[in-house]
Order: sequence, then structure tokens, then C-alpha cells
Amino acid sequence: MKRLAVLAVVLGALAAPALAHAAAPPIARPDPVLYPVRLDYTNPLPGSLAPLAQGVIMAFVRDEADLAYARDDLGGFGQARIGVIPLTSGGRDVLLPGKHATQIPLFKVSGGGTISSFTFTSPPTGPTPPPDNGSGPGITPPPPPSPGENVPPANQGFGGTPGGGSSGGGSTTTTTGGGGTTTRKLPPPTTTTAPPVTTAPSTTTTIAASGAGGGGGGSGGGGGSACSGGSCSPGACGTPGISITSTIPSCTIVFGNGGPGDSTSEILTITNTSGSPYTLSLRASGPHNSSLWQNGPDGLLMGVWDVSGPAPGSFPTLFSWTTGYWPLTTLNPGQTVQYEIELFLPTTVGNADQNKAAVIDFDWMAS
Amino acid sequence: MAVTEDPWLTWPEDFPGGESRASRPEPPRHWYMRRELHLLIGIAVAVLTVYLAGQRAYAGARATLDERLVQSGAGADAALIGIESEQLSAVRAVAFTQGVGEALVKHDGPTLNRLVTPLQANSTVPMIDIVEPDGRVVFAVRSKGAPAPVASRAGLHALSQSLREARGTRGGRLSEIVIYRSGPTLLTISPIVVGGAAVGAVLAMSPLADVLGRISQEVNVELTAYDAIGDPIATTASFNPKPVDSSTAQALMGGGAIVTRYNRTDHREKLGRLIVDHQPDAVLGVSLEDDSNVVGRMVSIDVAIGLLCTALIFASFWARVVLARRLE
Repeated sequence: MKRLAVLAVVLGALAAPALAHAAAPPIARPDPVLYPVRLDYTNPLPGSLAPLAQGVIMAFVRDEADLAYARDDLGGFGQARIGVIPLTSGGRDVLLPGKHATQIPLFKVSGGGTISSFTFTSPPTGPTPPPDNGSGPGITPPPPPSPGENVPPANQGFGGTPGGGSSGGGSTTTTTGGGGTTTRKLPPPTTTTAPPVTTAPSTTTTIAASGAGGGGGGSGGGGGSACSGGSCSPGACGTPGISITSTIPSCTIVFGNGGPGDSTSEILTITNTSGSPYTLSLRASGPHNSSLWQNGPDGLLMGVWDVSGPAPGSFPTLFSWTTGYWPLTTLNPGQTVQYEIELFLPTTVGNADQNKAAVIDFDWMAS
Repeated sequence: MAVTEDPWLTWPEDFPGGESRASRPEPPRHWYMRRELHLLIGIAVAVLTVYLAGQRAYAGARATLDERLVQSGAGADAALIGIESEQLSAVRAVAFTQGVGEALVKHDGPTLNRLVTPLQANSTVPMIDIVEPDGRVVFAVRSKGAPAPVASRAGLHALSQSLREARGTRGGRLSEIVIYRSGPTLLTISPIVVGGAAVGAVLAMSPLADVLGRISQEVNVELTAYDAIGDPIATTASFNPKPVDSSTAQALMGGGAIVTRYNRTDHREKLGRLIVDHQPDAVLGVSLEDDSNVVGRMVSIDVAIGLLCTALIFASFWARVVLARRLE
């Protein structure tokens, strides 16, 4: 009896921390859908705004003064400079530009001298000063923004390991486009797990039909075998008539252990090795056996684009690529084109995509 | 071995009437039994231990520094997105406020002042320009200390692109770094549309040096921006950074691997890209003073002191034993 009592006490003591832990409230974690800063270059404001009242200026001045360090506002991690506003700069120009006088008359000073407005109240007189547009002598202008209306692809500044290796910060994928190289930074791992995704090697790509022009023939099971001219030699993962080489050995994209927002890509160099021009089309196919294939928020996205141009602003779902052959370009005999294929797991995917896999075949058609 | 009550009387000469050591013939001594050799090996091992410990500590400290620099670089680029977002918010607010477009068309400076100045004050953007399609600046607002306005932005690449793409999916809004006469500047631009036509643009701008200064406070490293050919354009360092080799800068801008170098002798610097609007606009240098050699040296000294103390303790034991024998 005594032994039983001792055993019960010991077991109770051992279970106490676990029970206490179970009773504790859940620890709040950041929501990967909500916390990242998202640059929105695309969406306009819903409607127009009514003008703000002038009183907001003094309110701003007072609020800004309140934001100045008043005590140990750095939480013990550093010495806050009392009275200094956190946003105050410590940087300087190396170019030593010096001070320039205003070329527009001062119109009004507001906010107790913190804000100055400049405008012409009468037509300007005197010689027109040279414009300041960032292209003066001795200036090497930074690259201009990407042309076109699409949001350029995400980029890697410091994230990840150079060269596409992997590190604790996540793996990186480097994509080359046109004259320059664009790198993509993958977001850090999040609490939502991601599906491992495997795409079929291009060796399984098939040519489903051959056109009248004698385009590619298929050895993979989908297309004809006509090849009226040229070398008809297959590339590393192509078929006669369509030479396909990939930046990835064995032409297989393996995408595993990623998180929402992760992506992986492959660049395919495609050459028309037949003797006739044809239209190159692409279709994705596969078993549609998981939510990755769905045409909804949990579906995998797939982008395909010519690397000589910018990446599309948004990717269609993988599902939409399975609905038919989508023409990409027309290739003349001997002509080469580079396409990038990117698989992207949306940042909004939920746990439904955990531990899922997709094996995707790319079917190429020359018609 | 004889067992006695006195633990020190273990040698024949220690016993009364024992043969003295001097009278016994010296045993043959091999070279590997020489005391000098043992001493030499001991010293060599000690020196090697001190050296290796120092090197290990040096490498560890430097690896930690490198990791911190890379993380800070990534943090700096992430923080820049926040500033970009603030500027976008400001240009959207101006471009979508009722009456701004009409006032711009009429060149109505006082009305623009009434509409735009509160918006600028309510944002953290120090400079806002309202320009016509030909680049003429109709109205400008400046926070205290910001560079003075200029009369014209004609020829500004971003302006023409913004107006050209005003009806596109991005609405003509874009950001880039521009090197004005007043210094390098982070610019965000949005067209102002009236009746479906772009009648001008709003430019939200922050001096790049201020941007770097602000970010530097967040990531606690020295930041330097270099242009596409490697010349420094803005920095938070107290010294003037040396230029980056032109080919290195261009390789970095093209997506090359992060480069490590020393700036001003002991400032270790990681060079990556400054990303604006998702694309590299400048080379970003992230640096801190490298004290890893000091760490290595201190660890070497500590280990040397430790070994010396250990040797002294053993020596004192040995001396005590010898002294006790002699006293007997």
C-alpha cells in the first residue's frame, strides 16, 4: 500500500509539468499570410480620398515629437538617444553634393517650420535651370525599373546562399533572363509546412502531335514521328525535332520541404532541330491526385515565360496548364529559345497542402 | 619494490646501508628517454595547442561575424521594402485625393498646397513633387532638412515610364534609385490621372543616405550603397568606403554571389545587392569592424596562461617531492 502511494506521488510529480503545460494558453505565432510587408504596385485605392484637413499637419508634428526616444525605448538592447526620433538618419552622401538653392519660390511654411511648400504663384521668370533628372555628367544611373506592366520577379539581395546552395535561411533559385540575371529570394520557412513537389523529368516530355510542317516527332508516346529535315537530334531531354536541354541535371525539378511562398524553377533551352517551322506548345499533365492540382487557393502555380522578357506578374494555376496545349512561340528551323518554368506555392496555402507530392509531366507539341 | 612505512623510501639508496647512487653504474640511456627531448616535445605541444586554440577561436568569431553581416544585409533589403511601401502609400494618397488632378491641370499651387501638404505631413516621406508630363515641377513639399526643390524633372526616365504605363495593371507606379544633383534618392512615382488621361505625376522621394541611416539603426551595421560601376554613393560609415572593383560590381548587379572584402583595413564587408522594386538597383555593402583576430589572440593568451599554470602546478609538485627526498 505504501509503495502504491509512493508510486502515485512520483507519477503525479512527473505529470505535473506536462499538465501545467497543457493548461497554458497557446503561444501566438505570426500568421504568414498577414505579417509580411507586401508591396502593392498593382491595386489602386478603392475610390478617391477626401482631402485631409490642415490640422493634420500639427497633429503630425506633435505625434512625431511623441515618437522621440524618451527613456530606455530600446528595451535594454541598446542606448536610446533621448530626444532623437527613431527614424532620424545617420547616413551621408559620399558624392558630397552640397546644398542647392531652391528653384521654386517658397509658398508656405507649416507645422512650426517643419514643412515647407513650394510653388509658382506667378509665371516663372529668368532662364530655365537645367532639369535634375538623375542623368547628369559623371553619374552612373542605376538600372531603370523593369519595363512593362508586370511586377518584376522577386529578387535576392542577400538572402540564401550564393550559387543556389542551401543554408539555414532557405534555398535559393537563380534564374537568368535576357541580358542580366535575376535572382529570386525565397521567404523564410513558416509554420505551415509545404508539400514536396517533384516534376517529371523532361525525358518524359512528349510530342503529342506533329504538324503539317513536319515539326517534331515524339518518342515519348504522344506524337508522330515525322521529321522532314534537319538533324532531328534530341537534346538532353528532348525528342527528335525538339532539342531540349535543361539547367538542371536529368531535367528534373525537385521541390521539397518548401513553405508557402517558396518556388523552384528550371530553364529549358529549346531548339527546333527539324527542317520546318512549327508552333511550340506546352501542356502539363499528371494524376491530379492532390490539392496541389486544384484550380483554387491551395493549388500550385506554374509560370512559363521566355527569359528574354520579364516574368509574368502572376502565374496561372498548374491546373490551367493541364486543360490543353498552350502555344508558346513559333520556332524556325535551327532557332533556339529559352523558357523558364517556375513552380510556385502560394503564400496563402493552408495545411491541406502538407506532405503532398505532385509529379508533373511536361508535354511539348510542335504543330 | 620494498614496502616500508615511509612512502618515500622506495629506492635502494634510501635505506640505511644501501648502495649509494653514485657508486652504481649509470644505466644506458636511449635518445628517446632524454629529458631535453621530453621538454622539447612538451613545449611544442603547448605551442601548438595555443596556436590551434587561437586559430579556432579566430575562425569561429569570423564565421559568426560573416553570418551576422549576411543576415543584416538581408534585413536591410527587407527594411527597404518597408520604406518603399511607405512611399507607395504616400503617392497613392496624393494621386487618389479628390481635386489634385484638377489643380495640377490648372497649375493651382495654393490648392495643391491645401491638398498635398497635409498628406505629405501625414506620411514619413520627406520630399514630394507634383510634376507635369513635361517634367515641370508645379508644386513641391519638403520636410525640414530635405534637399531644396528643383524647377524641372524633364528627362527623368521613371516619369516617362510612369506616364506611359499609367493605364497598365500596375497603374504606372514604380520605384527606383535616382542620382540627383542633391544626391542619390529613393524615388517612388505614380501618375495622376484625370478622366482616364495622365496629367502629371507625383514623386515621393527620400535621400538614399537617410534611408540607409534609418535601416542601419534597425540592423546595427554600417551600410554603403555603390553604383553600378562600384563607386560609393551613400554610406552610414564614418569613413569614406573604397570603391568596389567595376567588374565585381557589375557581376553583383547581375546576380553574382555575395563578395567579401576588407574596407579600411579592419572593416569586413559583405557586398550584395540593394533591391528596389524587386530588382537590383545598387550594390549594397554591409560592414562591421572585424575583431576576430583580437578574439583569437585573447584565447591564445588565455590558453597559454592556462598551460603555464598547469606546468607550474606540476613543477611545484615535482619540487616538493625532490625537496622531501633531500630532506630525508
